[in-house]
Amino acid sequence: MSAVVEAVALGRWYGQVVGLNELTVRMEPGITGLLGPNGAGKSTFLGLIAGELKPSRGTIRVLGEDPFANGLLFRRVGYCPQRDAVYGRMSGREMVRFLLRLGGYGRREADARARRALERVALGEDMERRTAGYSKGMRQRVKIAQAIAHDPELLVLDEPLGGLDPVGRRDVIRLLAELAAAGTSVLVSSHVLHEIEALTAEILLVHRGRLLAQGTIADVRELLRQHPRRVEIVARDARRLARALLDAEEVIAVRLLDDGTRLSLETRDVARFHRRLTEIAAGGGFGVQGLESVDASLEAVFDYLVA
Amino acid sequence: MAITRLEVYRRFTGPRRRHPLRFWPITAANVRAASKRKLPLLLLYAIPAIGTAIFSFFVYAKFAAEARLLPDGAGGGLALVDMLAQRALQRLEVRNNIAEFNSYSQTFALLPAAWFGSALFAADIRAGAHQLYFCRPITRLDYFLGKFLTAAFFTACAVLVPGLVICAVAAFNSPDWYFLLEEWDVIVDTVLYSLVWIVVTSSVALAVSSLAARRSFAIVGFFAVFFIPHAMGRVLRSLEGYDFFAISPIYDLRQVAIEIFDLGHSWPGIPAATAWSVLAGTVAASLLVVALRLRRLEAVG
Repeated sequence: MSAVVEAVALGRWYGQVVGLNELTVRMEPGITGLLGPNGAGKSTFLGLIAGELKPSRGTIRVLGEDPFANGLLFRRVGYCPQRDAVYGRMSGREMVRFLLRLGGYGRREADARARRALERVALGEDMERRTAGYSKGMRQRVKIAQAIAHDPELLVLDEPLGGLDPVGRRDVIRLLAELAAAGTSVLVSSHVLHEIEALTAEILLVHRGRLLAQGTIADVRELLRQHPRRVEIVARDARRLARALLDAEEVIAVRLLDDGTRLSLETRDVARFHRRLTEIAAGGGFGVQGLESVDASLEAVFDYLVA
Repeated sequence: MAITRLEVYRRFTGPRRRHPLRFWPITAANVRAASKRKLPLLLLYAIPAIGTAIFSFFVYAKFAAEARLLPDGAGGGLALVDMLAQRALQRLEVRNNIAEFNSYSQTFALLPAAWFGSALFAADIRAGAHQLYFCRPITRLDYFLGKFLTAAFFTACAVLVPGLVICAVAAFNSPDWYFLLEEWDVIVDTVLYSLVWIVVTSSVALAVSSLAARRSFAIVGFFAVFFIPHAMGRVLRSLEGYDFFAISPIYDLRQVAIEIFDLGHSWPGIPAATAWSVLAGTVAASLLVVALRLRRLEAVG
């Protein structure tokens, strides 16, 4: 299957400022999280994918086509920008219908699609109200509605969960998962890591305009060899377990934590360590109650990469 | 590098068509949205509407008097009509009425262009709405045309529509469709002059709108473009002579009205070529500003 997005040595400058530099990436179908701190180049990359920005150098192909000013590609791509972007004097339905009309839909079809999209983002009851009276979360949902209203093949969302309340976030995450399950490829940017973690394990991590990592969170974590994996164990007899673990060659450091029932240890090979721990725990009566990889999360991976 | 997990992949199979008149939805949506607030409409168009009614009545009275429908020395309410008819007869030409209407109402005709035109780009840039436009199958030219026609529509309601209403009154009241058959060129002149007015004011409104961060700044900028040269022209005229009126687009528009309607007046006495050149330069500069600003709109905020 061909890549949904393929960039080769992609660069984009704003005068002297580097927005994106030498980005070579291939995005396959599915949900992909685009991560990076503020100013990392996420919006620039999404703008290039949406065809709103012209690359300063390199090439980008979206669904096999050059996206810049490619009007016909619009039908295949839905874009939700980060900025507010909705007209306060229009109702939610008018706004989405208007944007669909710009895409070439007839009056009746645009109206039907607008209604359907707004109902999908849970704005069915408020679609006739002016957007000036909407909360930030509701305006965000209008933007998502306009992006999905034409059933795009690729959905590009720039910080779509910003401004949403917890219920709204849950609904949008569920919606994106539904869209992905139905075959829509989704590229979603955020700097709130747990939002991405709730959506997908597949990440693109950019920082200062460069690609830092790509892959699943677990695979990327595996690549970070210079950072040993940290594991915390809760055990009834943690002190004796610490002594036993120090003899294991997979373990490179052990620390007994404050209350005496928890251990924090570091290992370079977490799979071998797990096997070794099973053997030790089975024979020693340490009363192991819990085990947690504390730096396998996206946040930890992100910290290691960006720090 | 790791690869993504595979979900179902749905390839797009629908039609990929463009809207034949891609700017039209922009104009229609902007006009509809701007028309939702009734108070500005009422305030901005009240004076042109009153002016249209008065000058339409002049035209009606002229033809009525010519047709001797008004009894001589009629008393009561008709005395006023008679007096107005006498005045109207002094202005034998309908074209005079339209030219006078434009002269009296032109300051008020600037207001709709300023109010509606100033928000068109400024609001989009402020909210980032242009990002929603440019990820759709429209070009920057379509975007400009959509916005330009919006400004033109609201300006036309204050300039073109009143002129055509006055012409319609003349057409319906002239005996044997005389006005349509013999003076049809007045309609052409009215449309031509209105187009000049609309193009100049709408271009300036869009240029300042593309430069301003807020609508209020754009409105100030719009009036500055028209009234600062106007004031300077008056000051320089008192110091040097009438030629300096040419730096004022308002005087130039007045001179162009004199030329188009062939009124033969000398005031403000700007050479026609100069007036046309200044207006063309104003439009060209405005369009250049808009073009440069629209090119920059590709940058994400």
